[in-house]
Parts: sequence; C-alpha cells; structure tokens
Amino acid sequence: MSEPAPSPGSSARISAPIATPRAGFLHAGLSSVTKKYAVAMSGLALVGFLFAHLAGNLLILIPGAFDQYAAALHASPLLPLAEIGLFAVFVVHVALALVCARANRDAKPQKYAVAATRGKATLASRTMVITGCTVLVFVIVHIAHMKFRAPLFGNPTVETGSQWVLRTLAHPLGALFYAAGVCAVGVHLSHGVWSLFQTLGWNSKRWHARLTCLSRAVGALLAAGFLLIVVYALLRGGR
Amino acid sequence: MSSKEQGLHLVLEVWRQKGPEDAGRFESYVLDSVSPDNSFLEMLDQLNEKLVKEGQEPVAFDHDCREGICGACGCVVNGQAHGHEKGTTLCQLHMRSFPNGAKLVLEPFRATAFPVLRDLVVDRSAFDRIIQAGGFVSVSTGSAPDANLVPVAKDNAEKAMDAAACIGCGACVASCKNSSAMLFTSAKVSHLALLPQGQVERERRVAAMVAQMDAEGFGACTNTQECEAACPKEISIENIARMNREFFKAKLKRL
Repeated sequence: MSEPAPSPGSSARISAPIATPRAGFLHAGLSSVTKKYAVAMSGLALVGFLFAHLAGNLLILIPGAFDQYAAALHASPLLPLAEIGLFAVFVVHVALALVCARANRDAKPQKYAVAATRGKATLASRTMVITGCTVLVFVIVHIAHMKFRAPLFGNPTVETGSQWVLRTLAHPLGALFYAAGVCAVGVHLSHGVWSLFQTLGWNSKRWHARLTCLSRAVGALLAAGFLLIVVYALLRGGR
Repeated sequence: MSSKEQGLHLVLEVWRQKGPEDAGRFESYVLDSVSPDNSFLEMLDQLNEKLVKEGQEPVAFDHDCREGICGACGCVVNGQAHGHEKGTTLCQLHMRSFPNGAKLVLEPFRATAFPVLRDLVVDRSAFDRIIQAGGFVSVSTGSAPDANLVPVAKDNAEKAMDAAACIGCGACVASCKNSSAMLFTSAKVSHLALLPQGQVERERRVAAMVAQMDAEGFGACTNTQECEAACPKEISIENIARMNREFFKAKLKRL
C-alpha cells in the first residue's frame, strides 16, 4: 500500500518553507516509524545472534570443545546461508540507523547555547550513533581478523582456531581491541534492548522499569561474557 | 534587606532575532527588583517595559492564557524547555524558583520544523498540520450523549484523558535532541484510539499523522525520554509505544 501523500503545507507556513528531508532515495519511501521498526527488529535478531555467539565462544574455556564446535559449524551446509542472513540483518540495522541519524541531525540544526538535560537521557541513549559506529568498525576488523585470519595482533603461527583466539587475546593490543569492542557492544545494548521494545510497541508504564533493567542486564551480561574470554586468555598467557 | 523584599537581581541573555531571515544573536540585559512572586512571563513583561522606556525593541514571546492550559507560551531557559521545574509551563514557572543574581539564558525552541519568527517566537503550525492530517473525529456522533451511554472502560478513559492533556506547546520537540514530534503525535493518536468515537478512522488517522509528522521535518525518536521529563503535562512515552503499535496494526490491516 502507499502512504497518504502529505502536504508540507508551505502555504500556511509564515516563514520560508523548509526542505523535505525525507525525500532522499535512502529513505526508500519509508516512514520514520517503519525505519525505526526495521532497526529494532534487526537489533533484536542481532542480540539473539550475540547470545548464540557468546555461548559458542565460551566453549573455549573447556579444552578441545571450541575446535570441535568450530569444525561442526563449518561442516554445516547451512553456514553460508546463515552468514548471508546475518550480514543482511546487520546491513539493514546499520544503514537504516544511519539514515535516521542523518534525518535527526537535520531536524535539529542548531543546538542550545546552554546544554542541559532533565536527567532522563543517559550517556548510552545519547551516544547510540557513536557506540554503534564503534561496534561497526570493531565488527569489520573482527571479521577480517578472525574469519579471514588477517595477522593484525602479532602473527601467530598456529594451527587451531582456539590457539588463534587465545594468542590474539593474550597480545596486549588484541586484548585491548577486543575488550574495547565488547564494552561498546555492552553500552549500546544497555539502551538498545529497552529501546527496541519501546519502538516495537511492546512497552507500557507497567513494563517500563523491568525493560530498562533487562536492557542493562543484557548489555552487562554480554560484555562480561566476552570479557571473560579475554581475561581467560590473558591468564593462560595465550596457551 | 533581603532579596525577597528588594526583589531579584537577574542577568538575562536573550536570543534576539528580527525575523525568519535574520541570523540572530544573544543580547544581555540586567533586570532589578523582580518580585519572586512574579511568573516568568511577568518578568519578561517587566523587561519589555524597561526596554520600551529606554527606546529599545521589546522581546517578542508567545503567551495567551497564562494559566498553564493553552500551550501558547514557551521558550528554553538555561537549556530546558519551560525552565527547570517539573510539569510546568513557562507561565506557571515563578521567579522564586531562581536564586538572586541568577543568569538566565533564554532561547527559542530549536527545530527545523519550528522556524524562528522573531526573538523567542517560533512557528508551530507544523503541529496544526499534523492535527489536520488526522487528529479529529469526522463521523457524526450526534449531540452530547447521556453519561455512560457509550461504555468506556475506566482504564481506557483514564489513559485517553491523560493523553488528551497534551496542550501542543512543543516542549517535547524542543527538548528532544532529534527534534522529534513523536510524543505530541502519539498523544493525539492515543487519545482518539482509546475511545469508541475514534475507532472509525483509527487506522487512517495514525498513518496520515505519522506521514505528516515526517513531511514537516521532525526527527525520529531515539527513546532518550527527555520529552516526557520536559512535558508540562507529563505525557507518558507509553503513548509513543502505543502509536508504534497502532501504526503497524494499521499497516498490517491494509496489506
């Protein structure tokens, strides 16, 4: 169906008519609510993926289990399909979030001389674009390094996946990079999870406090889970 | 003598802009003997009387009822729409809320969709066009029915009433970092979606109002909740969740 054609109402506007910021092809004729909905849905799918990713990665704490799991995963004929699906979801999330962010910036061209908040906005909620872009860069480097084995953090000559992971994370730069990346994910999700429920319309006064708690818990839990692997690698000295 | 007897000494930094095309700038004014019992708008009246006596242009600002129910007044005081007090319009903000010697920075509401007309006055007709797009009931509902003739669940009546408390002042847009009008639009959508009279146009209304909101150049909500905190009528962001639900129910039904 097509959306009703809105009139910018320039005749009624006393001052100069404004440009219509939603006219660009990137908006693909989608309303702001539809774009937000797609960002929320893809975000929800990505959170689901992160839990599965963490569960698989934590197997590294059990000697031998991680490489077995990785071999089984790579043997699956469904893996390329899953990877393409995940990539598509990620692209939708990032692209639409950036399109919305651009429109949001255009909507407020001039900031106030005195910056003040009412205390409701949090650092996480105000910096979703910054933490999101940090995660984007992290994911690109992470895939180049882990999937395509780009020798970024030293060049360990190792055989197995678990050795590659542990030696990387025992490298000071590798540990720092991965710790920073998962912390950015945690901060992003501490607002993102609650936010997606609100955007999908699954929120009310009754659920609000519980959902904000859940959001912070999910952010903290995922960041802590991935950090545990970094700490484990550092303690093991990469072996 | 205390400052209460002498009145407050204030330093005002006021945004002055001759018209929509003017770049605008801050100008400083010092105001003495401001009664702590004055409302913020009465303080501005006092400033304007002083400016007129001195042969200067008075500061233009919007106002009407001055009792917190019309939604006409509003500017940003020290970075906060309608000032720092909770659940208060600018006209209901009193000077006793400020310490003697306070420096107050007064700016118009900032948003692409709310162009500045003059000084602290912005053009909020974008809100009127959102209402014109669907914030009404056009079916004949006859004359006023007897009380309780049309049954409305108590919970829905309360929620509709809370949403209907929106006075359309624009503080939500002003306080939002994205200048999003979703709190305003969702309050109007919720108010009518919760009542029997609003059912006939329910789906068409939410689609049309969201489309108009986008066309006006408002940003999208990133759920920072600053709007709810700044709203003089304390409209809940629960309404935004409801509007999102309504929007997708409407889209699904039309598929």
